Amino acid sequence: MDKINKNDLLKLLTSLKDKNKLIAPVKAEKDIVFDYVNDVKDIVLDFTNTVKPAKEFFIPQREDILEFNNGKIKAIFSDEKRVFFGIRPCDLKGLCVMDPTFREGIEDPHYLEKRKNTVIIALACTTLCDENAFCESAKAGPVADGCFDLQLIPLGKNEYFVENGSKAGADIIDKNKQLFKKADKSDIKKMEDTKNKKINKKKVDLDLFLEKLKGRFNNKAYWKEASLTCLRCGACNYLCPSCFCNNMVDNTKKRYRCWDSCMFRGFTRQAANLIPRDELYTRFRQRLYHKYKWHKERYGVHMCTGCGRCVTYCPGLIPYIDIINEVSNSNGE
Amino acid sequence: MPKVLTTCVYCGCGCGLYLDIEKDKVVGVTPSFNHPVSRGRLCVKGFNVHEFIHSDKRLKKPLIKKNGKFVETSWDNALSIVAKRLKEIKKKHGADSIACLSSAKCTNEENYIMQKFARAAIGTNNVDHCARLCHSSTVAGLAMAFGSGAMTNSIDEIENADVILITGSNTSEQHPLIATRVINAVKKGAKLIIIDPRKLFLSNIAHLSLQQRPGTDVAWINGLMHVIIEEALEDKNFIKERTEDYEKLKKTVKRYTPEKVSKITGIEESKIIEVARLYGKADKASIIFSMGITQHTTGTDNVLSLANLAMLTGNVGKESTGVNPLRGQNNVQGACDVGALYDVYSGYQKVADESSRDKFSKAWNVKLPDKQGLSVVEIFNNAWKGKVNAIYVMGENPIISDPDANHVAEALKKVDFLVVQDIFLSETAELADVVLPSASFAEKDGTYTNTERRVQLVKKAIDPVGQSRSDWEIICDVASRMGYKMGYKNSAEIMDEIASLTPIYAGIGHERLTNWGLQWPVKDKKHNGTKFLHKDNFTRGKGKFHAVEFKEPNELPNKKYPYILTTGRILEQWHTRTMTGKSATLDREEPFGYVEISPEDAKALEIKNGWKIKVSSRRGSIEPIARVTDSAKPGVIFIPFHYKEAAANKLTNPALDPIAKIPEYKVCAVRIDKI
Repeated sequence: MDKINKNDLLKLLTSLKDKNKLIAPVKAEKDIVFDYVNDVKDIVLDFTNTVKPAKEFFIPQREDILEFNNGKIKAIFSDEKRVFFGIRPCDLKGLCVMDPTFREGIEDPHYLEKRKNTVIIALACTTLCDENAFCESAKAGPVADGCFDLQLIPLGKNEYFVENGSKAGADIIDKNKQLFKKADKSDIKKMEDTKNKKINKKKVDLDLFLEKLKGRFNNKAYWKEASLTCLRCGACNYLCPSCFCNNMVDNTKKRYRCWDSCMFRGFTRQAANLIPRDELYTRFRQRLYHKYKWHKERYGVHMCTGCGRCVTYCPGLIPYIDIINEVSNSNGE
Repeated sequence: MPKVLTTCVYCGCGCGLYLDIEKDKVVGVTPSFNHPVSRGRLCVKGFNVHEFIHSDKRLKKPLIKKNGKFVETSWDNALSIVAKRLKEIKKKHGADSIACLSSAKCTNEENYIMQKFARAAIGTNNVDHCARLCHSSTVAGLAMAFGSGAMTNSIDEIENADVILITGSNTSEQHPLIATRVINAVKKGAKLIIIDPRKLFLSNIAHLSLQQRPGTDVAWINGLMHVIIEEALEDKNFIKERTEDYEKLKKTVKRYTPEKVSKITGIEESKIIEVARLYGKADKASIIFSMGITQHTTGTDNVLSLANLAMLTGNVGKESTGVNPLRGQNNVQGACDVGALYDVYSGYQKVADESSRDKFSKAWNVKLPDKQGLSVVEIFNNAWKGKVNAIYVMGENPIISDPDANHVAEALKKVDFLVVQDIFLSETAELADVVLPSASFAEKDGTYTNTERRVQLVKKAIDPVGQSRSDWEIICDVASRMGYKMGYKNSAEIMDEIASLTPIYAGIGHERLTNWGLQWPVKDKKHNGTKFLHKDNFTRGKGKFHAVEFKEPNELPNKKYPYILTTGRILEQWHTRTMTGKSATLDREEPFGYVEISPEDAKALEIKNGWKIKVSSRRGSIEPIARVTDSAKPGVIFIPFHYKEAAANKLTNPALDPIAKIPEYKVCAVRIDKI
């Protein structure tokens, strides 16, 4: 078992940058964001989390996928090799829970190529990032339990325990042996303490919620009341690390896809303008059922990683956590 | 991916967001967590503000019309044609035969350049923009009452009000991030009162939601003041210390008993009393209003009445109170501030005032015209009569946005020369002789001033698309080719000129705006701006009460036109859809023009939800899709004005408020027929 200190970590990232495009948390003008990094000195290591989740590097908000040229159609791919450093466990788990939807049935090469070509070095959390985070209840954090190539777990300020999660991860350690040190017993204890430490302020029981959702579907009055201040902005989908729905748009030269939101009226617009989920409450309900029931039933995981963004960034100030707890504690009708 | 911090281009909230750049293209939007207005949140338009930027319909080269068809041309050729034709028309018919329409979508710097171009290069005060059509009555009314025509308080303060009175503003649709503050205030215990002809989205969480007959606002506001005075809820100390002409007001509102007001407005007597008590007893009461108040022939009267109400109860000049007009466009506040109006230079310095004129003449090194110019509606009336021969339009689309749109189209066809500068070939641009491609907000630097007077930076994220150029650069070139030299290194230099001539912007410079901008007045380079206005003194000294009598709207229903039409906007579309219509995500939400009609009226007319119906006024007719909803009251229908296919403004009444010259978009008489 290995550890690495901050200086050596930056050296490691510098060397990885030579052959890969490096994505890492940096300071934009006023906020911490994920960006391509030229100089590892720009990397911010003590950030909480970004407003926009890491998924934008795997399924961009807008992505050209086909090119039309004189009747010929060409698919647009990127086979760029990338290293994504600093992804937080909730965002990482978000990718893992959306993976099967791109993999099973018809494969989506645009997404899968990017996943395949990106080495992920996750960064575990030791402090609360957001009052509304419930990653512990969602079994996504504050330390990731998989999906990474490497995970760094802070051991104090300048040192990280290194957890290896894949062959690509092992290769990195192998090729850069001089930068890693052996973790001793006290390091392992610190790492385990971090894993066991509870830092969330909010708690939910997603399994109980799923159970109680079963009988709640037709309670129109409840869903109407719950969605009363929804401003149809799409933030709870756009900023969700696990929402993946997208729309295809053709123009004269290209087909692009862009993020979509099940909170939009147009999301289910059909020919002749029939809109199955025309009423706002049905869309609001759809989002919760997809995330906490149907996805779980289909793929065995909840489509929620407890990052808290849907609460923090909701302009309608909808208290999703209260809704989950309310339904969980109800008689299920 | 690289992210460039800028300000949203849609509404007056002025939310902070980053444009995400990938391979020289804007591919997404990231909210800014620390922005004082949006705090990491955005509405659906903000989240999708990148979508129109790379539309394949963007104008990429200058166009000139040859034999009725557009052909591409070089900048050099296009600019010389524009300069030559304008010079010819000026020589033949005089400078006042040319009119310029500036744009509330463009930056402060560009608006300043446009009005300078009109006044200094052409020599006319015929410069105006869509503020005339949205809040000119606010600017006029609040200037008369308080001395300054802007939102008195800040967005942040709304959350701490005890009572919020929203009237004539569909806040959740038009200013979603201000609605957030209202929702939060309600969560914290504030009482929300909504008075609007339609039941609104926020009515769901309102303590009281009342629907008045459109155009009867002076009556219910006078009614509230009647009850407040009857029940001695007025702030006697504030009235005595801070105001004048109270006795005149008192005498007038005495006649507006709840009984009388109820008959005029259709609001129950008991509700008028309840609202008066709620507002009158509040410690901090905030009034939020928008075009439901301003777009009337009595628009200025309506605004004066709201100012009366706030002064009567001492709800102005302190935190979380005030009279708060929500400005519609991203930079309509700024376009007014920098003088894109026919009667004032930047900072509301009057053209008619000799010392102001001297000051600008000296600074611009040219003799300036002293005759007040024409307002937007008057420009088209005069064009129709043949008195305006050339129109220069920057980023506006009056064929869809202006009242009595058929008349506007005819007027535009009559002028000898029409230049349109835009990012897309708008319906108005289609009629132009020359079309000049402008750079979008993502492709230039500058500033917007949001509804709370916050001057914020707009930053260049990508190079201009095609051969498009910043509006200010284009206008400077035209001016120089006309013989009046205009040239600046960059937009920051233009702002420095604005600051040097404009007391309320005196302390503003681009270098000072990097920390979320500054709220004017900013008196000097050390002053940090003004959170709320009229703290110890009103801008004009004492606040002035105006005794206002109720007047009926210009056009009332009759046998032939038995319904009242009121117009407005919706969340996902923006004005004439020049931008949102090219955004796949936004346009998909509401792609078709519709009309809201009450279940009672639909039943009587045997109309079903989803049917196309014919709506006609004395000026035209359109065919929107019926949407049967209880948000409309029987006898009143609502049509969003965005859609050229069912353009509500073919129906609206161009009758003007006598002071502000704002047309009465919110009331006209129509008939409904089945097709």
